[in-house]
Amino acid sequence: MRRAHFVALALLVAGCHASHPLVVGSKKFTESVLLGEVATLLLGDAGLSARHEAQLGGTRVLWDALVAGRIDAYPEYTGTLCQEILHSACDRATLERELAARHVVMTPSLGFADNYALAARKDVAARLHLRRISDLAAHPELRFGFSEEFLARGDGWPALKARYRLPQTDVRGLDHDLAWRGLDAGTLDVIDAYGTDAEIRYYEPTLLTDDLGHFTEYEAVLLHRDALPAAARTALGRLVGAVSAPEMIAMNARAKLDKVPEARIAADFARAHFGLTVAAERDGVARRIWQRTVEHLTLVALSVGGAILLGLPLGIVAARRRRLRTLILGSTGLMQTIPSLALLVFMIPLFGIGTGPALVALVVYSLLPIVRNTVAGIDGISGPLRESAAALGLTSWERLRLVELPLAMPSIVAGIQTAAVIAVGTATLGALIGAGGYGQPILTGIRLDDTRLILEGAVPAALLALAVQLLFDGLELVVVSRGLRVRPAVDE
Amino acid sequence: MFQLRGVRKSWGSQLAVEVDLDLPRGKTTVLLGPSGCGKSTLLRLCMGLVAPDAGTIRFDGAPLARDARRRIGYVIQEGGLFPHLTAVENVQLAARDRPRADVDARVAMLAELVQLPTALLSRYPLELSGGQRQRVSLMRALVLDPEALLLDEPFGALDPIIRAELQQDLKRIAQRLGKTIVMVTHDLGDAATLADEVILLRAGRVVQRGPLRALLEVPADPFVTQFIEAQRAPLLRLGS
Repeated sequence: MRRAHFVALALLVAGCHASHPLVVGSKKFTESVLLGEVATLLLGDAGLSARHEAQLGGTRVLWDALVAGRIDAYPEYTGTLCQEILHSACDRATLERELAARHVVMTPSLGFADNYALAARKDVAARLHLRRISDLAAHPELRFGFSEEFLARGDGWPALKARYRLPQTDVRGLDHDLAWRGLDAGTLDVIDAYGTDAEIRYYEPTLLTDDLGHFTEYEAVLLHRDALPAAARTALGRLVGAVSAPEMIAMNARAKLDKVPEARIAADFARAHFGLTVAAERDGVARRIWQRTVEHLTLVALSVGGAILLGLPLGIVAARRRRLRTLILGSTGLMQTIPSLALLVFMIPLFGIGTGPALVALVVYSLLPIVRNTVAGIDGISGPLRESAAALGLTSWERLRLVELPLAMPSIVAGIQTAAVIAVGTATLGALIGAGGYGQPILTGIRLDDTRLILEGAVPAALLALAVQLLFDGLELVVVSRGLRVRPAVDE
Repeated sequence: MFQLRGVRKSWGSQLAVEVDLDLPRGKTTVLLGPSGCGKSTLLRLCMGLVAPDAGTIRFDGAPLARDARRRIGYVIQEGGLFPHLTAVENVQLAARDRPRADVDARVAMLAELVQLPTALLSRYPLELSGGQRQRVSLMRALVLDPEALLLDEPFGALDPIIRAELQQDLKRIAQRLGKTIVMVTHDLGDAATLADEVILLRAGRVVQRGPLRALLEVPADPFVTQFIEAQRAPLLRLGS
């Protein structure tokens, strides 16, 4: 028990110190990861200690993390800034003024723009003679699939629909990478695309002209904190004007189509443009899985441990105090209904990114089965046994320790087992906020459409869930009295 | 030993017990009556497991307090043994604050008294038969050498032969220890074997009190005869 406390403490301390090196963030799409990787290499080349928190999440997650000082820099687009984050005019002067008020600085353009476009299936476009976005108005039956960001942002679907008077009703929100696959499979007719999407080269869709000039400019820039040291600013400044649109498309294509690791592409780019010699680390699969296993097990063990320390007392109180029971069971049940993804994102402003917030979210999720089974176990003790305990003159504490908890133990262990197995699954979502674990390869695999990578996370996660199940079956033999497991004797 | 003055207890609007009673020291008193007559509630009142709505209960001259539980042994139907503890651990739990050596000696003595083979002491309750469980319960009730022993339908779940055996054993124990015993039952056989005095209850009130013979020969109320005949008549009809 004492050792568990120590480990938790050590992790906390480590978490605090980890904020000292510079942290570059990136969104969960390939281009952002590549730019983040190059920026990190440049900081390292300037002799600064820097690390890359790759594919942290969407715009909101990165922006909040930057404003809160959890990360120091990340790649962004001017159109996203004015349309989605600042809700301001899109000229450079306005943007810089608005950013300065939030202690954020924007670099000049990195050299390419990543404007929005609509991409239609080639055969559909040919059949319906679609060339411009205006042409879509005549075909209300078309099926649209847009990224969640595009559905929500100022110049996204609602404005586009109003501007072009588009009649389509079959509009689905989905992950951008999945949208490309849907378009390819023919389940979608039109999707949103970025100017530098590698898939444009691969799937060869028909890009529809923005004939009314609706979409804003999306110049690629780096955002960083205004407190960033001068040396770091200079290092990041080397990226300004350095990436042309064809180069960006080529890098995206190498990552997504040729399945070259991003670190390698970024290293190649840095060598070609800046003369950096980077020894791109190449971990073996076994080492990678081992590291993920350690991360994942840490997440599960600490969160279930925390949930036991919190849930067991809560369950005992709920079982003994009628009036608190409704409150405790109600509130733990309510927390369970928050979608895990939303809960993880809520944690960011409170606890930052990485292992900490993921742990808090997992503890919250593990609470209900433990609390409920503790209550059920204690409630299930029969009247005669309660009476016997009272007749023996046991104090409240003795009754709990010597009678109620041992009798409730099978139910409590089952609750902890449920919590742990669920935590193994839920912990994969932790990768979305930089907590690592088996979710990391799954996330990357989905992004790169790489089944091998997805399996590299999914198979160990399933095996771990099985192992946890077996572990608790074994643990039950140790902590549950044999007297509760023996078969009744035949009466005399 | 137990003094109940104007004691009344209701469950909701249902009167459970309304009595004025003295239960004599060193005697075995059997509380008889049909189901729901309040005899179990009366026993719980004496143990302090249930508080009366009105009236006072005194034990050994002093108002009944929580610490009296350690001076009263209590056995319920099916024993109420804790299934997660072995037989001997159940007994030790009752004497958890006594020196271990004293408890061990007392356990050995009690095992002999209730005629339980010591090999069975390390078994869990589920590994024992119903009769063996009741013997362990009796050991647990007696381990602190209490002044009184309260038994609530202790033989209720046993078959007739085991029941008769345990009746005889309990009678022997009662005679040897000379403790105040209060036993709840609806079985005339228990009363006939064990009772110095019988208290017949109906709807929470005492109908008649005295030796069982007096209830047979001088019933105070037609209900007394009715209750006794209900158990005796089938056998008498066979005999005639």
